[in-house]
Amino acid sequence: MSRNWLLEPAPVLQLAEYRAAGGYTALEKALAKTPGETIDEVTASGLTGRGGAAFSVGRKWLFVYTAEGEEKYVVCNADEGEAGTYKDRELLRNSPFKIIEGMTIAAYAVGAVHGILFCRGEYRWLQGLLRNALGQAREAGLLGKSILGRGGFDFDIELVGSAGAYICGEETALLNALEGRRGEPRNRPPFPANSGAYAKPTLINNVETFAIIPYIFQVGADAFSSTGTKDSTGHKLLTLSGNIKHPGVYEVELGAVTIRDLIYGESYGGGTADARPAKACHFGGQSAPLAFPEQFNTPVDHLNFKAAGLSIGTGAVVVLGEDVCLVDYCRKVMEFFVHESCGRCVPCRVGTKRVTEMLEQLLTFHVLPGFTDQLEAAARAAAFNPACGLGKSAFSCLLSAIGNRRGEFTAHEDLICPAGKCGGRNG
Amino acid sequence: MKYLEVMTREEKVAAIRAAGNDRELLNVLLNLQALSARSCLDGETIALLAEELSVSDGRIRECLSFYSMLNTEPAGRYVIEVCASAPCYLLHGEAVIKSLEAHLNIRLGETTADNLFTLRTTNCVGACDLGPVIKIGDTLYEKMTGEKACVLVDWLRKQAQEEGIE
Repeated sequence: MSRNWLLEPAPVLQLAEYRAAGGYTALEKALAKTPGETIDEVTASGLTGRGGAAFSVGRKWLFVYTAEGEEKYVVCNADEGEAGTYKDRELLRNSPFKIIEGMTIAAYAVGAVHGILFCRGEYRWLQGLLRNALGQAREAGLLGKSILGRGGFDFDIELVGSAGAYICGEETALLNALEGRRGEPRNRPPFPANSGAYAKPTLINNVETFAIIPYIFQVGADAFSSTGTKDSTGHKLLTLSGNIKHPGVYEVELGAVTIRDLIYGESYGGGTADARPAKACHFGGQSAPLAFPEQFNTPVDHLNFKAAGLSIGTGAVVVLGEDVCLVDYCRKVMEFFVHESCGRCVPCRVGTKRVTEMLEQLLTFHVLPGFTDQLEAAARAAAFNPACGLGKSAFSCLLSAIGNRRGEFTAHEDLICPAGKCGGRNG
Repeated sequence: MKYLEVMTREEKVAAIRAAGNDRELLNVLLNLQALSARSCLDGETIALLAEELSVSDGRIRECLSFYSMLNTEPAGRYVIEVCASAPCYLLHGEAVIKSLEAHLNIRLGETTADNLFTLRTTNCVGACDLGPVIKIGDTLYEKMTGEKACVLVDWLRKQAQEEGIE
C-alpha cells in the first residue's frame, strides 16, 4: 500500500500551506502542455469517475473539449446523498484546494470560463470554509483573470448550494438544481457535454475525481496507472459505517484489498461492533446490491466486482450485523427511494411505493405462498424502464437480497423471521 | 434577531436582498427560512422575493415543494430531523425517535403545541461514521442516544425562553 494521495493527516485550509506542500505545481505542469495533451494525460492515467458511475474521466473531458460553444462550464458535484457515503465531506473540509486546483486544470483542458461548486444543502455548515478557500485562491490570482499569469486563461468558481434532494446527484437533475429549478432529471440527448448548465457545454465530475487530478499531474499518468489494476487505476476512498468497530473513511489502492479485509482487517474496520460475523455488507450505496459473506473475498476493483455482481459505486460500505432482518433492511432502503424519487416518471414514483408496501405486508401479515416471487417480479418490472439511472438502481438491494437469501423472504410468508426481529415471531 | 413573521414589508425586502444573489435561489430560500419562527416562508415573503428576482410566484413555490430542506407548511422554530437512512437505522436511530416522541409528547411529523419543535426524519446527512445523527437547522448532533436527545431539547427550550420566543 503506497502512501495516501487524498486523505490528509490534518486539514489544509490555508493556501500558503497548500502551496508550500507542492500545491498548484500540478496546474503549472498542465499549463506547460496544450489542452489536448492535458486531456491525453488524464486519459492515460485510466482514471474513472469517483461519484459512482465509474466513467472514463479523460473521455468525458474530451466530449466537453470538442463540444462547440463559448462559455463552457466545469461543475463539481458535491451533492453526495447515497446513505453511507461521506467521502466528499472529508475532502471538502480537509482539502478544498485540491478540489479547486483539480477544477482549474479541468477548466484549462476543456476551455471553460465558469466553474460551479455545487454543494449539498446538508453541508451548509461547510460552505463558509469553502467560500473562504475560493476567496483565498481568487486573491492569489489562482482564480479569475489570467490565472498564473497565463494571458487568456480566465476561470472562476462560484459556490451554489442545494436544498436537500438525493436525485440531484444525477447529472441532469443537478443542472436543474444549480439553475434554481426543481431537481428533476432532463431528457437526454442533449447530453450535458453539449448543453448543460444554462444550456452551455458542461463538464460534471465528482469531488473525489477533481481532488485526485492534481496528483496525476504531479506524478505523471504512468506512475498513476501503475497503481491499482489494469481497469481500475489509482486509489479510492471508502467509508465504513453500520455495525463496525472502526467506522471512518479509508483510502485503498483499488484491487489491493478484499471486502473481508475492509470489514475485519485491523487497519480498516476491525470487525463488527458486536464482534459477531457480518451478515452482509451494503457496498456502493443504497442503489447498489448487497454483498454476502460468500462474496467477501472479492477484491475491490471494478472488474472483480462486476464479475461478482457487485458495484463499488460511491464507496459506501455499510456493514449489517447478524441481528439484521433482510426484509426489514430492504424496506428501509426502499423507504429511502420512496422519499427521494423525484416523482417525474411512473416506474420509479409508483414502483418504489408499491414495492415498499409489499415489503410492509410481508413484515406484518400472513401472505400466500409465492408472495416473494410476486415481490421479485414487481421489483424487476419497476426497475425495467425508469427515466434515469437512479430509478433503475433503486431496486438493486432488494433484488440481490431475494436472489441470494430467498429463504429469509419465503420464511416471512409464514410469519417467521430467521433473524428474530419482526414482532417477536422468531424462527 | 427579528423573525420574518414580525418584519415590516421594507424589512422583508432588506432581508431578501441580504440573503444572497439570484444565482443561488435555493440558498436564498434556505437563508430566509432560517429567519422564520415557523421555519417556513409566508406568502408575502414569497411574493416579494418573486418581485426582486423578476420571476413568478410559481417558480419559487415549485422549488419549495421539491426540496426536502424547504418547508411549505409552518413548522416549529426548531425542526428536529433524525436521520432515518440505513446506517443510522442500523445504529438504532429508531430509539432516538421514540425517546423524543415521548419527551416532546408528539408523534413523528408533528409540531409541539408551543410551536417550538417539529419532529421528523431526514435522509442521509453524511455523518454515517458518527450515527445516529440529529440535524437541527444547519447543525449536526452526532452519536445520539435517546437520553442525549432529550437533554438537547431541554437546552434548546431554555435558549428559546432566553431569546423570548414563546
